Amino acid sequence: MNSMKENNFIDEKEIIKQIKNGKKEAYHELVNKYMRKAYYYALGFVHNEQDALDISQEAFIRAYRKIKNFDPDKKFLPWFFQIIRNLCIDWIKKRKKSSEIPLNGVRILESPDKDREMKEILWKSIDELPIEQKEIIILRYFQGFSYQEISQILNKPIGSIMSSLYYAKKKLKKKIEKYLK
Amino acid sequence: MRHQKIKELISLYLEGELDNREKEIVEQHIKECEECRKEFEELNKLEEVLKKMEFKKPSDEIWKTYWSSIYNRLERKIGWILFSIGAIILLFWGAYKLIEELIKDPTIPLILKIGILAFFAGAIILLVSILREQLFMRKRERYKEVEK
Repeated sequence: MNSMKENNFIDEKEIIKQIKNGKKEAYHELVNKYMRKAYYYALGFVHNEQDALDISQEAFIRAYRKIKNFDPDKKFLPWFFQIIRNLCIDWIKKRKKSSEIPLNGVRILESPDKDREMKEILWKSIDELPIEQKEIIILRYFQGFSYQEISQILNKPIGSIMSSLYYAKKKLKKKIEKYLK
Repeated sequence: MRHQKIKELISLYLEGELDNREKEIVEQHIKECEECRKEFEELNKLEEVLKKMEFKKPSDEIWKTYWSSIYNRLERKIGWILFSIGAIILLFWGAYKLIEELIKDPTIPLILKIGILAFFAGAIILLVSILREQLFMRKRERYKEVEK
């Protein structure tokens, strides 16, 4: 598993070298690799398909323009996610829309109807969490990132990420307590 | 071990993040402590729900046009930059030539010459001011702070 990750990193390093040498096709490859992650990460902030799409594409454009300064010995994704994060935070500040949460952007797989009320409350509660806790929940559960990866994206120690996630879950648990009994 | 620490470990246990020794500590503790057992059961249910949550998938069309949209926007931005540079050079050259002609022409009244010169000087100051502001804003742009 680790050697697979290592190989991916070496491939990515090679792709970034090619992009720095002006090969647009190499950037196409990188975009294909990360477009879904970028879109869903933005969607977690903005709750709107069109805005998530625009923001994720704008982030790729900005990353392309700045890639000459990017250190290829580092992983692309944490650096790139910081660009998306900043764009999303600007978007939220401008629109002040962070509390509007259409549930239709989210679904719970194989969830019977009786869970509907609970999942509505849960999603609303996730959205009301402090931004960092919300991000950690989204990165961990909606995107399946490891603690190591989340720590790189948010530039925080793993211990602090684990602790924030625990407190986030504690808050969520309290909000849906009656459904958990 | 204190309950609070065990509760944090329970959360990690349910995520499969603990080693065997830590797992044993949690398992042993929840056998003996009702409060932590309750915490374990509730967190377990929450974990199950969270693991089943995902964002609704957008239509496949989005992914088919995703790259071309980025490519077009990149190309357009480069186009706009080149267009702007060209327009600025042409404008300055045109203004220079016009002013040169005006000054040399003895038939144009002095007051009109002063008026036209003031107009162009003002336009140039405004343009430089906007460019300087843009440049200053770029220097302070938050994305420049992004770790490389």
